[in-house]
Amino acid sequence: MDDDLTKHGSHRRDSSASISAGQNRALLASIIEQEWQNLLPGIRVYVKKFDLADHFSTIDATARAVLQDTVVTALANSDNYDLRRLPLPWLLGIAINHIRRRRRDRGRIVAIADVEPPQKDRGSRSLTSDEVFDLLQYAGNKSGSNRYTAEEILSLVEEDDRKVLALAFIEGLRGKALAARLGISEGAAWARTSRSLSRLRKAYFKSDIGKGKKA
Amino acid sequence: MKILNSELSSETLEKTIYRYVEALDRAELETIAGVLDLATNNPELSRAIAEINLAMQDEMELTPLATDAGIVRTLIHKHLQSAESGEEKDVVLTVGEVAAKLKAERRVPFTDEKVNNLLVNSQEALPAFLSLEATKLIGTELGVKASDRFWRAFRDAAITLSMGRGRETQLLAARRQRERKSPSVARRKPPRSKRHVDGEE
Repeated sequence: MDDDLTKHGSHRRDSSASISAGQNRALLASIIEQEWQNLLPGIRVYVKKFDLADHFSTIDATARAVLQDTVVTALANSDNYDLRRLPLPWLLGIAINHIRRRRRDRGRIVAIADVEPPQKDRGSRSLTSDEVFDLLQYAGNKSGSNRYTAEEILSLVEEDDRKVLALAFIEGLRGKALAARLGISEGAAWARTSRSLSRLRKAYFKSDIGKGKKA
Repeated sequence: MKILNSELSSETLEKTIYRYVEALDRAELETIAGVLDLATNNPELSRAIAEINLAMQDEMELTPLATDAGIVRTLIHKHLQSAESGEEKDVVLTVGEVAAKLKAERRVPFTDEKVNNLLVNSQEALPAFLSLEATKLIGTELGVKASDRFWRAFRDAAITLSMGRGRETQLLAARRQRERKSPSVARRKPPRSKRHVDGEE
């Protein structure tokens, strides 16, 4: 039942595992009770981001319906769950599969406005987010052999982004430490750094520095 | 039980976290699914995802409701109970109530208004767990035909109503329990304002 919905992260238990199917199910139920506080916010965010609903009341109702589907699918397929795996991402993966199914049923397509248009070929390819990360990482290491300093690269973005990226890549603050310095939550710190990197990637592509870095 | 831990270098972990945020912002479902799959074996990544989801929820002002804990407990309790005993207790929600909610909230597709008006008068009880298939089956049993869109809206409304009902049932049970513990106090307790005045004067 619903095998396709648990395909994500579906890891059958080792045949040598001593826990019975019933115990596995009861354990999973207990885990779900502990994890719901992390599960539901994720589902709400997915419902909103994937455009399944747009008003708070409908977002909440849809998120609850997806939560119910997720819990039912997880418990019905508890035999597939390997207790050594982390439950939250496994459950979020099931939720994502339900969201995928709902989108498919509705015949929706990805909102074109939300998708970045492909970059025109200028004789060089644009950097990926990972490459911008590496560029800053190496520039921030101040090895002396870098073509551009971190400050030069960071000058391409606005003050807010420059501040976040300087703290992350020059001072080496990440996660909790960065969040504490910025006075925001850890999740918000990850999100801000990611978005600042994304804007730097776009700015770099348009800049003289970026053009000088043609592959 | 030991968690399987797929070692990621700090750089790879960080890039993966940024990829998750970017995929959320760009609504890239497959990328998110891939990162979640990776996170089932990596506690740090799993924790970062939970933190990011909370931050995004705050950012989009998707405020959680106070009843969330009760909702999940009710869901699990009902599911385990019905699966193990084959019984479904506290089934009080009817087709008519759900149809009335849909009508009141103007969520009935134009083409299905007649069907919904018929369902408003139905006292047929709904099962505790309502899959889309089970929802459509109700239509078949009641001899009505409606669009998939209607049945989906019907199911969502039924779930919302039943969750509220679950919360009410919990509160009622808690009140009964309190009253059972101290029935004499509950019966003889005078109005607060009166007792206060008597005690002072």
